[in-house]
Amino acid sequence: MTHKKWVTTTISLFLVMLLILGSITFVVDPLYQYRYDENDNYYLNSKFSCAGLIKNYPYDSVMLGSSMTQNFDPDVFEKKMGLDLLKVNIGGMTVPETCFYLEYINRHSDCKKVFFSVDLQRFATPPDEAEFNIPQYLINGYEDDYRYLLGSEVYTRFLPVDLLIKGLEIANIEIPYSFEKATDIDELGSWYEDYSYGEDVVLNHLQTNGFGAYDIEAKGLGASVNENIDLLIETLSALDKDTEYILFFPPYSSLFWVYAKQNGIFEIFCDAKERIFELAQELENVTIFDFHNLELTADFENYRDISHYTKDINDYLVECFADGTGIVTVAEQLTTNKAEVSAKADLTYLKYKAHIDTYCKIE
Amino acid sequence: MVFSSYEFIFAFLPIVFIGYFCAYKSRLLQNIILVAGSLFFYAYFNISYLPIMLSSIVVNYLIGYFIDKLSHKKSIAKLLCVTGVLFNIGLLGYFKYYDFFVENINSVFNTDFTLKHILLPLGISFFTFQQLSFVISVYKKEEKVEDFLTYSLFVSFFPQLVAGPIVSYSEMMPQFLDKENRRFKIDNFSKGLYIFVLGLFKKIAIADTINIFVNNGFMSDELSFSAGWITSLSYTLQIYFDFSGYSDMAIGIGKMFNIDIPLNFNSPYKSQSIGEFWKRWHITLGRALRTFIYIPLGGNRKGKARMYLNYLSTFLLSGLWHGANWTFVLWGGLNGLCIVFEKIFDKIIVKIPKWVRIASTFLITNALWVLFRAESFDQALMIYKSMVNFSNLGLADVADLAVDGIMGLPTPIALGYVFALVFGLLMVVFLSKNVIQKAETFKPTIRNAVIVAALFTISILFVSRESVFIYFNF
Repeated sequence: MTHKKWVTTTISLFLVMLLILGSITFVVDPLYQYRYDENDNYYLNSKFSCAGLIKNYPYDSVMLGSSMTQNFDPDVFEKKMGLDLLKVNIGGMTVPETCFYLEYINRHSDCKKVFFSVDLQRFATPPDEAEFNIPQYLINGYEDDYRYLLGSEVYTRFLPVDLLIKGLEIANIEIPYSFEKATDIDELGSWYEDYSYGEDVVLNHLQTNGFGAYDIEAKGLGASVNENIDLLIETLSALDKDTEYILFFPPYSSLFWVYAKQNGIFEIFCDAKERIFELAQELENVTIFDFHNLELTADFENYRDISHYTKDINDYLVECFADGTGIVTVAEQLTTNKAEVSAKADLTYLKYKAHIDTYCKIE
Repeated sequence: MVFSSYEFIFAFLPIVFIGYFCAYKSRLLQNIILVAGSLFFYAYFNISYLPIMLSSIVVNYLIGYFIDKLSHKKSIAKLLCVTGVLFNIGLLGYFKYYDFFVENINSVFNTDFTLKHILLPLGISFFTFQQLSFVISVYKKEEKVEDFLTYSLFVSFFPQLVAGPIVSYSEMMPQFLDKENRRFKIDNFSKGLYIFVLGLFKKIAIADTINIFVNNGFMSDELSFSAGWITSLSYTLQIYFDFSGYSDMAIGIGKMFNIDIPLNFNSPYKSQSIGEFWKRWHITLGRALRTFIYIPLGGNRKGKARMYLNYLSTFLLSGLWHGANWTFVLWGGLNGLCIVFEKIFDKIIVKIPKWVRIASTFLITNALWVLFRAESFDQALMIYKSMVNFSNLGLADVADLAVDGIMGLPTPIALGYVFALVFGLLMVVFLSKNVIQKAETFKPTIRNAVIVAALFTISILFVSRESVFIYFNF
């Protein structure tokens, strides 16, 4: 053929292929950007799937946050509180990401309640330095949809796996458990089956890592924390007053507070909690729960490291949401809670002094 | 914007291309369109880069112009030439090496001078080198200075602006001035499109995919023997497909504009010696280093000992040109030592079977790339230790190299994927023709149309993934 015909043929084929692929993505919609169908069995990933689910999944409440929230069970919420919960989470979710999702949920749904964890560790990074890992093309308007319709993640990950799962279903072949779990929206982000728990596990973790995994510097922490609090409160102030925002401080183990005291950040975090409570009082639709002082925080059978707890704890927290255990209604409660947390930390340090002093020296 | 972006492929390139060839009746207008487009292309990365490049163009042009005009006054011409050399080296030295220099002063003399954290203008190593060669060539009366617009086009021509190939004034000017090149030529366009798409695929589908293995490997604290080798091989493949892919795209775009940009990669991993490798890898850099460093130092004209020293010096400087870090300097120096070794034992080496020479050259290059990629000597050492860690022959962490945070693949599938990709690509680099060789026999057939359309489509799917060209760091 002539060069002219070759160019015309090549470009035409190219455009037709793009059109076909874009259409396939639109019809299948593996990331729920356009619709949700309960018969769809798609592989989920927190970073990629949440935006679409927020827009199109039927729910009346949300559990939002970091790894502290990933093991919550929507079935437990339904049983205890009669709620249809959607989990929106990213491991290590930063404050800017949390604020983005609060606003995004507000924009795209009429949900009654939004629960979200205030993971104080995430407040250590100033908002303008914190990561924002949510793919822009999934949260921007329709002008960016071509990146989704012709997206690399869609075509190299989600679509092939979704087709594989569909193929296995049609052929009546058992789907591998990991894939089955990954397609369950109620299990989005959950990790409880992937780890061991218990005192030995926690102590072993300390032996291997010390407190090194929690690299929070006291210098400048106050300023970073306050900037994040300002961002959070500013976001909450702009949201619909018809939705109740239930903010909770997740139950880090008492070992975390040993670390906090040794690293000089305990008072800063306690002050942060008081400031959040004080500012939240001006917002009618914000409720605060403080789980830092729960008795279970001193029992390491519930933990895999100094802050991550078992699914049983998540289930228990739902009961607390339902019956009001841990709710903070006056500032003095935070003072009392602080004293209890401090006392537990001191007792924990005394109990494990040799281990902590050997393996958890803070430089 | 990078070549592998929606903005470049669907907006910038078509607009500049159509505008350029619509103005075929006026060379002036065509050059204005290309220069304006090229400056827009450069400024799109960061507008603060633009004044730096524009100043560099103006100063170098004026120096070249006056050297040309005053060539009969040797002392003035020489002074201008020295000024030009110092200006370009000074510009590069300030932006690229200031902090490196200060860090070393602080380290050696225990001082506390402040680092400036100067933003490195994109492509500065390339356009200063290019203009340095221009100034020297004018002084040597090897070049004639054309008008300012044509000179600006030589420096800023967007296909080769930010990561080469490093072109010479004499190979580009005649093409820009040739009336025949002003009109659209469909055969050049089809060939250019063919080369561009293959280059795009190499960069975005291959290099950026294998980058995941490289990042995971280099970020690890410890690796098994297998994972260490897969990591180093992955980087060896990544840098080849990334840089040669970029060069292919530059050559392809140039071809679409009827401009032949020189070859920069010629299947370097098929080399039988390190010396040959550097005649096949980043060919235009090697050419520039030879012309402006090796030969002025004396080349091979002053005895063997001096020749070896000249090779070593040239490669040490090459290492430093690549990056302001001692790892680059050591990388360059070791390449130089290998070449010196080959020169000394040349008569013995030629008797070694060809396949052994190719394999050993590849293994040496592979090992040296670890230094090039590592952010520190400790990181390089970690990889090297793993590559000789015969006590840890497990494969578990090889599967971890494929982790990308999106989807957890079952271990057997991840292992299969990693090995298939790495060894498949090794077969490609050793056994198949490179893109430019394929382009030499390119014919406009339906088969080629389907292949190019498919590769182009696949490449577009990968565009949404964020990527940066490795050589943009220079």
